[in-house]
Amino acid sequence: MSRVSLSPKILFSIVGVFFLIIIPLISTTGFVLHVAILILLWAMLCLSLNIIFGYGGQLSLAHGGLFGIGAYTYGVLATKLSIDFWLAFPIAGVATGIIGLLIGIPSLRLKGPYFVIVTLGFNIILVAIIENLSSLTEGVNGLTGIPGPRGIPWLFFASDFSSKMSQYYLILFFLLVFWLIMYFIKNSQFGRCLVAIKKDEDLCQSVGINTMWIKVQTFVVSSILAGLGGVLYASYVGILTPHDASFHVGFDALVYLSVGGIGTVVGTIIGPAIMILISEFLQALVEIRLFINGLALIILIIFMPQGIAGGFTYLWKKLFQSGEKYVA
Amino acid sequence: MAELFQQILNALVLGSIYCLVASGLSLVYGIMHVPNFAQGNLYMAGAYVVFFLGSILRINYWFVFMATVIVMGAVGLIIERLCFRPVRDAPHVNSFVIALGVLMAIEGLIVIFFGADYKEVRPPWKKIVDFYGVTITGQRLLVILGTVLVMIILQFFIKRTKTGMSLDAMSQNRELALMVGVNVNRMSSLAFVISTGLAGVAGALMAPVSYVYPAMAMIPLLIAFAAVIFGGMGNLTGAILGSFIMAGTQVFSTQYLSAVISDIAIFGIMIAVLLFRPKGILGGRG
Amino acid sequence: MLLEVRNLVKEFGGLVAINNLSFDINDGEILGIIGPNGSGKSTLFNLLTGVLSPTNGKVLFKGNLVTGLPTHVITQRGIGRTFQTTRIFMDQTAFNNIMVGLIPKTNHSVWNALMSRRKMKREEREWLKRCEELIRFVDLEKKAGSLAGELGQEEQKRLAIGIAIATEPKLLLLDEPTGGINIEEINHLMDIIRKILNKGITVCLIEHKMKMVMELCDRIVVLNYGTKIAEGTPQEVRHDKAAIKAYLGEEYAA
Repeated sequence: MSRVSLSPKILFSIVGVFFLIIIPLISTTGFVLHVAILILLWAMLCLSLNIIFGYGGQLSLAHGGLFGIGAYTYGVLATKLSIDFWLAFPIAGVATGIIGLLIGIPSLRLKGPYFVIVTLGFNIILVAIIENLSSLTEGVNGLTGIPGPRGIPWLFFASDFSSKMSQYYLILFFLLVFWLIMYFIKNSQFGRCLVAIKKDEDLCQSVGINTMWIKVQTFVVSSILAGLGGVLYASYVGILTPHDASFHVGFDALVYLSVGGIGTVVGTIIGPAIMILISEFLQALVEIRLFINGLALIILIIFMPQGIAGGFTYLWKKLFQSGEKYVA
Repeated sequence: MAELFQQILNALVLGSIYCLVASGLSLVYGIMHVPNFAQGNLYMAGAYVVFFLGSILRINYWFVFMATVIVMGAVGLIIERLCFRPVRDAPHVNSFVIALGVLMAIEGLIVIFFGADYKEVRPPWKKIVDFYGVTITGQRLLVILGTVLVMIILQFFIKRTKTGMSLDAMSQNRELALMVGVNVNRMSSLAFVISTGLAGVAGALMAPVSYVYPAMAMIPLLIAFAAVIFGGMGNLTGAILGSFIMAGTQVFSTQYLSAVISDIAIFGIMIAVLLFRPKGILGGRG
Repeated sequence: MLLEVRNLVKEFGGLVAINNLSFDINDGEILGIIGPNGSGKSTLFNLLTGVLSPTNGKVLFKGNLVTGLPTHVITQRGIGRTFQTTRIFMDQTAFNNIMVGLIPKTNHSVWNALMSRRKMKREEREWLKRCEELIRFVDLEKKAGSLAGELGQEEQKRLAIGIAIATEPKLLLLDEPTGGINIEEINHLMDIIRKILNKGITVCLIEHKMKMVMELCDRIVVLNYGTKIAEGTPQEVRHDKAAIKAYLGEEYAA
């Protein structure tokens, strides 16, 4: 039986999760809790982008659209067909996964910049579809009155989701599940494939790995998670407009992820946390948000492309190199 | 019949604009292997510069036109130096993200100064030419003629001047050009300046034709990419051809089908080309 | 016949890289492919492994057509290869490099990653063991934990071979396995190639070092400008006029 001492990573994770759990208890106002929820939702989108971009090495600009499709699928199912949250949630996930499959298969045949542009195009098409199916989606007017998640009476802690705090915990629960999924993906044969493909795809093919299929799976998983994030967003906010599916959403997710650290797990929440806290508590900057985001992205990629999480890991290793002992 | 000619004319106008934007895109990609996703926003910025100088400061259109090209060229210089050069030796993906950052920064800047609503720029000529039932405004004619002129100048520059030929050589075979002593920094800056200058010309020509608004950047960006891919990245002639084909597709499918179908049609062509002829229709075999 | 190449042609625009090439590889033999630089040897390997598709002609492996199949399928069918430029994962340990070679044999779907973790953990032990065997096979046990980028040239070549063998090929294509390796180290590589043969793997070898080719190969095919100009045992080829002419020029052939 090998001895496992507490690695800094595990310690940090436990502290981090603990902190996330107690946030509603220490939030002084509803607004603070609202911001926290937004951060969690953005973390979900960043997480989904991280899977295809950070792990898979493919920069997708379609994820804003996938997020929006998930949100609208739930919105339409809930308002037009009165389908229960707990049924609509997986349906929307599957729907987004299918769309991810349809987008991924042609797009992933393409390398580098071609993939980026094609996914951008797909995002625009998705928004156009949302705007034009106005009988379902109310088009540009926006979908309103989207209900929140229904309580589960026989599950005592999930019996009622009307309070903000309960919604926070619901979303946090799913975020933790998504992180677990990310962890499982990273630490598996599949994850090994991703790392290898990113480094040398041709060598992987030469070894017998069906790299296209691996990439498609990655894209579909990331689509599903983006879509599910969208469902939670729709159920929390209650209103949707086509803008919630625009490529700008995907751009912002890219900025937040870059701040946090592309390819890291902790970066998916640190990035949104920092950027959203800055923008929410400095309300006056709302107008210049787009400019600041763009500038931040440029500066970040030039000076700190590994993001905050990456930079932190680097510093930690430098300072505590000899002191580290953990059993893998 | 007259309607057909009207649509052809529209296609020529749009095609000209796309041609300018696509040429810039093709040039930068050929020289620096950077897909400048911000090219659409640079076109949009050109239109806004015209709006600012022309409609707000009320300067004569011709001076404004010249000024816009110079301003956009300068912007290109700054962008290349400050944004793209630092990541030249980094993994390719970094330049993609930088390009997106530039895209966002430009749009953000425009929104700060001008807001997101539609602006109008009045054309210098109110003249409307009318023959055989086909109307064409002076400005639209200017777009087509202006583009032809600019493209001729560009071709001349690339094929006949020493600097231009170095640029051309570098886009064909980068390593060889380097060995022969071509100055990479100078060429990269030059490529960018020309590229943004072209975007500026396009924006300046188009501003009086239709509205000026932030979202005008995206469709031309995608079409320019589609055109460049159609012709093969780095192949200027192909980009030009592709632009007009795309414009034609857009105009005719919008007219006879619908705007949404038109978007999908263009997009569909782009995907089809990418899947079956990744090096472009004219760019040689895959 | 394990591999049958029939009238293979590859053109790049106007350039003919492989010109109506036909030959066989027999089960259990070592076939050498030699020829001056630019004679199309690596192109041939690329055609056999699906990296390039031929302009004309066909390739049959174990009696089945493999021309036009994607690379990973061809590898799964049983053709492995190494590259002239020693393609390995430089920033991974030697051990992890070979683990990549084993991936296609494992359950590496995302579904398995999420749903069958316990099974995966059990199987992982088996893969680790197999990887250790392969490391030992190419004599890299002492360097198993070193980064591939820090290995010596010859060690890297052995690692590349190890990765290729991990895929359990029936036919192994080695593209200049001793490129840049000095004389002492060549013998080590030759031993490993003999070991590979003993394992029942047929080998086809592109090489420039004549001594190695003559000593090791059962038969040799000589290419020049994409055309087969000689074929036979090392003795036959050594005295073949066309082969000598291609390599050394007219005077020697006379």
